[in-house]
Amino acid sequence: MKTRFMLSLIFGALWFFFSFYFSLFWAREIACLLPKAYIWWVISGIALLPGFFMSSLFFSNLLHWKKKEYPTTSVPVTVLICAHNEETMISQSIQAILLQHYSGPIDLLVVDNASSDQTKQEIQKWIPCSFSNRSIRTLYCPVLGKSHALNTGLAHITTKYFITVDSDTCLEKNAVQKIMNHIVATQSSCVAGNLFVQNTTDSFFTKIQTYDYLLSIAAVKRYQGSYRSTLVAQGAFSAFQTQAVRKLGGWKPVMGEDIVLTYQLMQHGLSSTYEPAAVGYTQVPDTFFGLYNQRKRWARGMLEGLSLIPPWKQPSFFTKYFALVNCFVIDLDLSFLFGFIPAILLALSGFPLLAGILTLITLLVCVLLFYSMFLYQKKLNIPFKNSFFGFLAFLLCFQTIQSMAALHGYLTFFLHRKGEWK
Amino acid sequence: MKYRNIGFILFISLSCLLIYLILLFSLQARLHRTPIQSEIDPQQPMIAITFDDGPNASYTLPLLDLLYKEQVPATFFVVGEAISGNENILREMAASGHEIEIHSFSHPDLTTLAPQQIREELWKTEERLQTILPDYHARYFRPPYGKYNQQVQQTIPLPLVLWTLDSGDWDHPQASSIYDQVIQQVQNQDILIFHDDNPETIKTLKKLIPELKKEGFQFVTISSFLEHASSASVLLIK
Ligand SMILES: [Zn+2]
Repeated sequence: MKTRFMLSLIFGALWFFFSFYFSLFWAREIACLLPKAYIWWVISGIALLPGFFMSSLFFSNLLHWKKKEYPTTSVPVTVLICAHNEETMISQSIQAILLQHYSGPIDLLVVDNASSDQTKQEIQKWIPCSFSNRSIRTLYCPVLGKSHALNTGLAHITTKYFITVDSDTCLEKNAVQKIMNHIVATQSSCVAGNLFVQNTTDSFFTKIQTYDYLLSIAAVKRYQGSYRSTLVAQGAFSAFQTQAVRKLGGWKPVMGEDIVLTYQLMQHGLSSTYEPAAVGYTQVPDTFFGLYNQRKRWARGMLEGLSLIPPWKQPSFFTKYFALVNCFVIDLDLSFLFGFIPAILLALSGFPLLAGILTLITLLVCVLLFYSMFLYQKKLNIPFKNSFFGFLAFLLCFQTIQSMAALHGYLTFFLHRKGEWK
Repeated sequence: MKYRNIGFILFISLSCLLIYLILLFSLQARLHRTPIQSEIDPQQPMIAITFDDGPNASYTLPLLDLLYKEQVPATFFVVGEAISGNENILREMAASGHEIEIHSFSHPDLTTLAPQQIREELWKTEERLQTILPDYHARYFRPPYGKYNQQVQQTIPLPLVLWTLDSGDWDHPQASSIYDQVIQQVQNQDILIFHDDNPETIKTLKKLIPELKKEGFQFVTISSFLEHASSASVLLIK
């Protein structure tokens, strides 16, 4: 495990030094045109660092190309779904659980989190459908908040393992089997599933998010998972060891409760992995502001996790490294907005120097990475919707929305913290 | 919430735009410099500084900065092959009041070429310069390595311009030895040759120009040199 990690780091470092050497010439060419500090900040933020991170990720994923198979298990498992005003979506996620091809018993625990719509009635409809191997229980949590609902559910779990599923996520028919095989065989404290977008064709924004999930998020999870350090076992679909979560006292009442929980598990020396063959189809925001607000929350959640458990407090070398990389993401977002975008505009006005050839090469690495990821996901033989236009639109505008929203999220995190100190 | 988002997005977009405009303005400003003014007193000593083998992406710009700061006009004998990618450098050169002349397209030894090839070396470069600077017309030509023969002379329809004092910077010695070489030998009505393709030349000129000014030299371009200088032995005019 360590050898392959080191190999990929060396590969990334080689790329870094190659591009650094190249950028010495580049920087000299623009040195008397623009301030030096700005030039180096932009070069490192749009070419050197992304090049390093992406090439080591790419190489590591290549080294871990072969998917691990685990023996089939049939231990009992609880699936925990929390719903707040989800009357339209909840039925199909419950149905997807009941229809799972899982060889063991599933205890479905649905928590109604202070819903004011027909969610409760929708859940009740399914109670008669439970049979010997698939039982349904419902709980009510009057305090609004995901972490409260999850903790309410946690208190009623009787199995050794449980799976959290969002009320707007539909599991693929083998998802529970795959994720259970993984967690039982590896004894990870948590296993993140692979999320695909369900409502791909709803709007332009769902189309571009499809590729973010399929190519970027999955690539990062696979990379981190290879070293048992997946930083986010997302609430939307992940499996956990009940005992480990209970020891931590469940979820904390924060914006990114799933991020903080994963960080805490790893802080206790437990491992966090990723199972690409366990697929859940999730409903993503279909409007610009829906997407914007979600990414804002994620960014804030990431900082919450990082500030509660800073990288140096992580016992595992790998987790330390990945958490540290996450700190760099803030800088990358800033240099994307204030370096890359002005550079592209300058290039369009006839001054291509700041954008540079190296950035172009880095973009090529990025496309290569996406392509390899696409092949990998295709190999799983689990269907996803795909369109060339969507991919192009993803390449062209996703990062701008993402960086903008993330920056907003970082800002609210810092403002919020300031408020707490007063 | 929504208004706050719109506000934030507007704020970031405007900041992006502002950064872009500041960068664009500073880049544009270089292309619209007021030309270097030089009034020549024919009674006083004068020298022409010339640069060969450019434009160079790394070194021509800092050189232009230095010349502009010192208000020294110069003549650049450019190589056609080096132009692509450095268009803005040439625009800035012309705007600053320097002279741009031709030093061949691919820097060959012209004495080994056929007349047709020699002509090509000239017009291909001139054509490239004209796409960047529409009013451009070459007035002088400097053959690579200073090598020419009768055939070259007859084929090139422009006066050939050589030099009288070689700085020796083509050999890439230390700046201090280039400086010594020039300062010991320089005389009134010298044509100095440098190459704007290395950092030592710039270092040399940083020290040399103020020193030459102190000694009372005026700096001229090749065309005003021809107008004012009494000795034109280095020029082969047909
Ligand atoms: Zn030459």
